[in-house]
Amino acid sequence: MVASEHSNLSHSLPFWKRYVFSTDHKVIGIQYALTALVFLFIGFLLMMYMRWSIAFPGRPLPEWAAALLGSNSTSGIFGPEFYNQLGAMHGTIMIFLGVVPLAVGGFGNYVVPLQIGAPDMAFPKLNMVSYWSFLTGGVLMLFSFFIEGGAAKSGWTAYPPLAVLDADAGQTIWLIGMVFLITSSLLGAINFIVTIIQLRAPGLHWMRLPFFVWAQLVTAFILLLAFPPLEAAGILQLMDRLADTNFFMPSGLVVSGEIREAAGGGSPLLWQHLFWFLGHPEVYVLILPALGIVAEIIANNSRKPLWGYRSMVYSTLFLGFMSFVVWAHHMYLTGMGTVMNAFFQATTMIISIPSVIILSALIISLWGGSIRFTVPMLFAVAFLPMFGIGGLTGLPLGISTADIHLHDTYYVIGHFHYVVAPGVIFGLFGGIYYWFPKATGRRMSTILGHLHFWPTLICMNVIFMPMFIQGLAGVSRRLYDGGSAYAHAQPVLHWNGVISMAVWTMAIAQLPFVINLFGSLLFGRKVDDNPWESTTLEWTAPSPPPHGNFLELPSAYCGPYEYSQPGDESGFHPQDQPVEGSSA
Amino acid sequence: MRGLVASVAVLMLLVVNSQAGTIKGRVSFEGTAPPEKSMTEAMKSDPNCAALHSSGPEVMTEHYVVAEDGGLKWVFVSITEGLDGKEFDKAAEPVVLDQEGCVYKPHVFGIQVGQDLIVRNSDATLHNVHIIPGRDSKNREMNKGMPFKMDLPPIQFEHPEIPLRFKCDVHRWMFAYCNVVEHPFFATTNETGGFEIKDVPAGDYTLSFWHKKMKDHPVKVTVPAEGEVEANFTYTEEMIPRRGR
Repeated sequence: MVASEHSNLSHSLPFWKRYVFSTDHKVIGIQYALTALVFLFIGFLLMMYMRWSIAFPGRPLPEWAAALLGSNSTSGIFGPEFYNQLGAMHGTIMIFLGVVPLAVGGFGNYVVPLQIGAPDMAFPKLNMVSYWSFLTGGVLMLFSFFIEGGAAKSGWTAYPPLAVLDADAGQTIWLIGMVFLITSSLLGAINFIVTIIQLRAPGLHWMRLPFFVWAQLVTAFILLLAFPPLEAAGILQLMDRLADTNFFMPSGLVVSGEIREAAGGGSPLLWQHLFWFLGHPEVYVLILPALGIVAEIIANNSRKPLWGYRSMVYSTLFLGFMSFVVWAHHMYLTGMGTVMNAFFQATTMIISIPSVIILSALIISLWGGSIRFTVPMLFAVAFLPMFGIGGLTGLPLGISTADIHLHDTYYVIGHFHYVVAPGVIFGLFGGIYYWFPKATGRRMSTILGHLHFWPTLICMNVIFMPMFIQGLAGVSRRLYDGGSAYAHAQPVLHWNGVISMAVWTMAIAQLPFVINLFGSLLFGRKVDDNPWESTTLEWTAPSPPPHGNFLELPSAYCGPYEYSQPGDESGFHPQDQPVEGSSA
Repeated sequence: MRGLVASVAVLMLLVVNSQAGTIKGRVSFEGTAPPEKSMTEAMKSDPNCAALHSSGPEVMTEHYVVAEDGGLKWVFVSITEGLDGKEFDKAAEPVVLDQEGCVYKPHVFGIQVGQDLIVRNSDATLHNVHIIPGRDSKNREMNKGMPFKMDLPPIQFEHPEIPLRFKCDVHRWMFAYCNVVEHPFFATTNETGGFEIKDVPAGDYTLSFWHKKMKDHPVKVTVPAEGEVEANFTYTEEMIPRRGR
């Protein structure tokens, strides 16, 4: 079917098939993105409540804030169990329902077929099923807040025995929700891999692929190979909870002063291995799409080809491979033994090399560029040091002797939030500002973009930098009172208030973004198909692209970042434009 | 019309009440009760609890609180047979279980199915209310932390259970025994061993006496249409299981 036929087809579809149960990758991408943004908001809201408990333990919430919690608070105070629900669900929502669906489901779905010159994903119906499976999982997770006993409260890692012993149904629903989410990811991953391999435009050789596509391809492989063990583990834990099996429950366990009977006796550590076999590659599932977005924005706004494009691609492939052999650095304290610790220390140090290569290449790409400080570029440039801080502070955690002291402290929270929050989320924000004109034909407001970016950047650092100080002082994570019961935490306790104030301020700083996102849909300045003067194939499609994407399916004649080439007066050479001496 | 309905209702109430009696009685203990254990020593494991009792008398267990004349406190008395087929309204007043001075108050009490239980923490320290139903129970296990002076949202139990054990996982000496029954005819003995169950419909019943260390013991009673019936029970030293001594 040619593109124009696709376009005609879309007009004949009824509303619910065109916008609700759509098989168009762009509609599915937008569905993913908007749903993920709602989940990100919810996950952030949970955190705002947590920060109240941490900063002002035992003090009643303001009346309006307590009203939202219903029977979860009495006289405005909520207990540690609800705090645990908030904590477990904050992590789950932010990672599995927010960042990954936005980065992969949203940007991946919307941008990848356009960037490779394809009319759609390879399996459009599978794509639709993937979204609805994701939504079902997400709704189930939220629904669990309203059942007796509330949502899961054994942490986002759901470690047994705690997760199995929790008598409330929230943990059961969490596990069922995860099965839906993982199924969604697997369907999506297969789709991305087949699409990128099979549906590339003529002439779009592997080394002509935009770096974002490479990032999505490696991400898809990681999802495909790392998630199944967790899906199996989730079902086994479900059996432990519902069918009295003991896959993860050891014999001789003393619970509340009494020995719990467990026939056979399983191993709680087995869960940790299965969880982190997904859990650590999942970090790269978060990072790689953001790196891809940042690479696109930096190349476009520095008006230079990406420095070391091939090195970045090979590093990404190596990173994807290595991400499967570092998982147990999350488990040094389980007593695996020094040999195992040494192995995982070594692999952890090795995996930092490709990360550094990619980050360095992005920094060097700025060198000598005619930099345009557009709003997406601000987020992309800010991503670099933020991600750098997150990455560098991870190194001590990869060394088992240092990890003994830092494990489960606020240092860890600071580290991975620098990677994910001012890191990945900045990349995603940049992506929204960057591809918004393609999706809507309108541009987002620059003024509101600045009002969004600068306070967010400041708040992110006020939030996460003091966590390193608290963590080095030994303050544990997951404390509903922020450590106020502990003598050793007293000297750094004052940071709790500062951090919480910054969190609430950052919430206000998101208002310009929300106004900008929806306001620009209606009132944003109309732009042509390629407002950023970009080179990659998505910008050759109309804005917004019709069903089938291109008026005529494009061919690629050159690399993805042909900016400022000698003799080229326009300053950029789109991939679909023939080049002398080059073939499609 | 309204007046007529009200008059009939009042009349019916009077008739019902006039056919209800009271079970009154006393539980006593014969022999030498095992000595109580001091909880003050255990409380030293939490300085917050120890501080609450720094100047007061020593805090002792209350397994066998026997009055000078033999009256036994903390025995839960309830009707266990004879009420089949009857339905009862849920009591409107909530039962309050307080944690005060790192001790449950009261540590033996009764509650009706569906009646609200408010668990309170009057101490400015962390308590953990762990409700542990029996192996075959249909009631839900519950485990709630109470780090501040606060009340938990009201809890209800859906199934009868004698006893439903409460414990604090933070303070190993803290136990309470909640006895969940379907009807409102129950009482816990006081310092003299006395108890009183009012407004019991006339009829033949089995009354059960439950003590946390000694076995349940049923007693048959016939409640008259008016007035009182006496039901006494005596535990003896021999009834104490070996491990309870």
